[in-house]
Amino acid sequence: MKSRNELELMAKDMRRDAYKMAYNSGTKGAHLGGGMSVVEILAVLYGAIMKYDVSNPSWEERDRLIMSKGHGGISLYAALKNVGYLSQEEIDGALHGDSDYYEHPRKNIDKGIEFSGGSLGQGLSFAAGMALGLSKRSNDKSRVYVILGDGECDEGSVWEAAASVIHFGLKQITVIIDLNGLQYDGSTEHIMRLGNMRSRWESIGYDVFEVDGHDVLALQDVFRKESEKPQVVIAHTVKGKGMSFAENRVEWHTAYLTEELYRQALKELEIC
Amino acid sequence: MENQKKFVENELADMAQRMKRKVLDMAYHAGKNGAHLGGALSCIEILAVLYGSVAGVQAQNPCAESRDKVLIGKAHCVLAYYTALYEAGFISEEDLDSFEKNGSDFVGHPLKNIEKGIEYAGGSLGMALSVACGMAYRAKHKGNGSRVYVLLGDGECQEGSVWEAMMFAANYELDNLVIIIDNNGIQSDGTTAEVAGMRDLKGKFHEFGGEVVEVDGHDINALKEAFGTEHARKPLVLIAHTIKGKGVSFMENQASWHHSVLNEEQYHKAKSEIEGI
Amino acid sequence: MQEITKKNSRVWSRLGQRGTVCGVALLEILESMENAYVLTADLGHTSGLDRVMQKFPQRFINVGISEQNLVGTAAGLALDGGVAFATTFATFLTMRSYEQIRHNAGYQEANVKLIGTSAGFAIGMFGNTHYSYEDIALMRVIPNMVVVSPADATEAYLAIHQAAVYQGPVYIRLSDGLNTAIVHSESYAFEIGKAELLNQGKDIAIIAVGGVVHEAINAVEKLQALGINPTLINMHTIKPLDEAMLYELRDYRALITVEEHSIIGGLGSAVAEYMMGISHTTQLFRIGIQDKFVHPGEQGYVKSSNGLDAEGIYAYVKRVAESFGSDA
Repeated sequence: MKSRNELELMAKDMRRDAYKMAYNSGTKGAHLGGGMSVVEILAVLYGAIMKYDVSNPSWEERDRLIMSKGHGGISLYAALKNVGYLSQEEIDGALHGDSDYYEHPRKNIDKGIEFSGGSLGQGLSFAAGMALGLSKRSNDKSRVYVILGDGECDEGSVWEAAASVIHFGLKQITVIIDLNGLQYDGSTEHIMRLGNMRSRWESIGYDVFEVDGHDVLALQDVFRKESEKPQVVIAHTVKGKGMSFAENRVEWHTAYLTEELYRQALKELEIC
Repeated sequence: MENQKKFVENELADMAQRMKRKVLDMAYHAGKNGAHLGGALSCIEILAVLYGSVAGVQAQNPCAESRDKVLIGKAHCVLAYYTALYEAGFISEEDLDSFEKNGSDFVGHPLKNIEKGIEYAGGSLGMALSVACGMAYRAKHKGNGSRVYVLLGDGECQEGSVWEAMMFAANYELDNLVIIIDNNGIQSDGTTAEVAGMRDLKGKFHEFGGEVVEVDGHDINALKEAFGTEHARKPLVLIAHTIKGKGVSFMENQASWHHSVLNEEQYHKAKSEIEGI
Repeated sequence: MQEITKKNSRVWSRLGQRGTVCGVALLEILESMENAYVLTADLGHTSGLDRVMQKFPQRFINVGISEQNLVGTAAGLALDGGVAFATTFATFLTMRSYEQIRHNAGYQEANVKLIGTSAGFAIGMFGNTHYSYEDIALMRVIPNMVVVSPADATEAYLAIHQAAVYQGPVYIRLSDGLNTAIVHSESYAFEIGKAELLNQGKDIAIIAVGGVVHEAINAVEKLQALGINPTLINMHTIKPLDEAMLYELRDYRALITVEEHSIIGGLGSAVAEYMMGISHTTQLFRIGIQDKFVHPGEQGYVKSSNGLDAEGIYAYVKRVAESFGSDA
């Protein structure tokens, strides 16, 4: 178990790196909105929950994280740097020039990236296949965590995969839904009503937990729960979390930081 | 529109009976090509009620702007579909007899042909509901009162595109859209439970925003009543519990009769069973 | 529909292909055709459809992030007498919903207009998931489908207006970006299926398509300074291919196709398929993405690292010309 302080410090470090990457990328902008909504989720997973070995990245018994909402890449890079998969140089060079770390991460097991994200709706099927493979290899040590966006759940392929996870009894899967309520064009309620996500996933056969997606201790608790079924963690989050000027603002799905906003973001980070 | 609704209960039962006979004849004459018998026999009554009573289809004026539209997602039920179109006056006996003959337009999955009442080509599962949504949206936009009926298989509901479309139908409150699920519990490789662990279809459609009613898909009166369910600001979803291969003992609930060849002996046995002899 | 003037082409080049189609032309089309609909999959703002959604809320339909449903719903509107414009990133439009396109738009000839944005690698740092250099190949093989890839914003404007009145499915492949190069600044007879001759030279012809046409124009200028004068053609319609124009090239020594697309299945392949049947002497070279996933970066970076900028085209054509020696 990690303390609130430890996990929040990690989240803070991650935000600092994420702001830096976004700022370095210049006026092209970065996916700060949906990046910032998953910072605490990733901090808790990488800081307290998941098993992995940076010196042996393809360790069979590692837990796997599938970042299906690939536009959360900026925070994934920050988490991977925090735990030692990526170097400071790689963070400094990310999202511009000929870096290997662009907006949507490309699979690179040595660097802890299990899946190429960017095309929404594909991660859960991939995770199902991965979990089936683990089962076939009698590996009952590893868990597979999949992070989906709420808007991503508009994709029919999510629901194909959702049914198949239940059918194959893949209880080593935890689906995390980053429920920030916004998609590219506006609120999920306005663009494509998701209805009651909790009962929707329950009706398919999952154990569903809801949690404040920015409360590190609550996240840590929920990820430690045991189930006889595959799990869904609905994380209530704020898009653009941590930057007052970006929170809950759809235009920050992808946007760029001016020097002034960059400094403001850093300042807000130090205050909290 | 009303001219299609004159059928009373007995007439619908008679219509369904004639359809079954014809289905067996066509399957038999298709010879070694075989035919999709199981999923045709499961939706005979549904199609009889739709074409004989509920849907405002107009064989005399197939392109009428205000016509209701019936789309078939589980297009492998062509045998039942063609016979329903025949009963409703869209296609001729000659058309029926050409089934699965080289050069015929009436092949194993329907070709789009508005004149013949075929609103949408089928054969690739999971597509019809989105198209029905587009048609229902346009009908609402035009305000012409046209309704859209779409028949899906239960196995078909494994397609993610069905759920994309269902979310759309709920989001845009398509209350002129009726989705009928032929819930016969069997797909090509086995039962829907074995193959894909399908469970609680009612709950799922409810969760995706439909007004859901369960009904005995072989009970003509119950079907008529179910089609009359109020569904303000929501699409109506009828989950019709059916039996694949209904009415023929050796076909009922047998996945092997999803697509099969009917030999002479089986043909005569099947015929006598549906006649109740 | 507006006239093609210097002023308009300047304004449109600032908006780019996507901005011109989604922010200007579609608005005009919705105004003039009451049966027209515009559909998007959660890229309304990003595509520049804000004015469309404000002005025509009933005929602007957002399906959320569901591309298969985007194409299916568009087909439903179209099969019932509508004209449906469905737009999202080219990669998701053509690949996620490929079978829906084949079945609804191809097979049943639904009158849908598929507008693929961010085609090629216009979207820069987003990376390969958001690139599309297979889309021409995929769309071209579907019967009934027309495939158009405009060279600049003005041509995109003309193409979408022609597509609107054309009966049948059309795929329009757009590049993004603001302040794009101007190829056409005055009125010219754009017609789907009729290629445009940009320079009449000899022996070598460059056949280019899409946003790299202007790179080819710049390359030709540099080549002319060396005394090499290739013919230059803007093959904005890949299907149906302008075979009459290609026929005129049957005795050329070399044809060089240039496209922001894989060398497999796109313009280069289309030209090869035709030329093999009529010419015994012409050699064909294809500039495009080799059979690989590119290393992502900004559009200019990816273009230059794959020989698709003016410099790369220039060097390639020069090499071909020099290989012919003094008799060329």
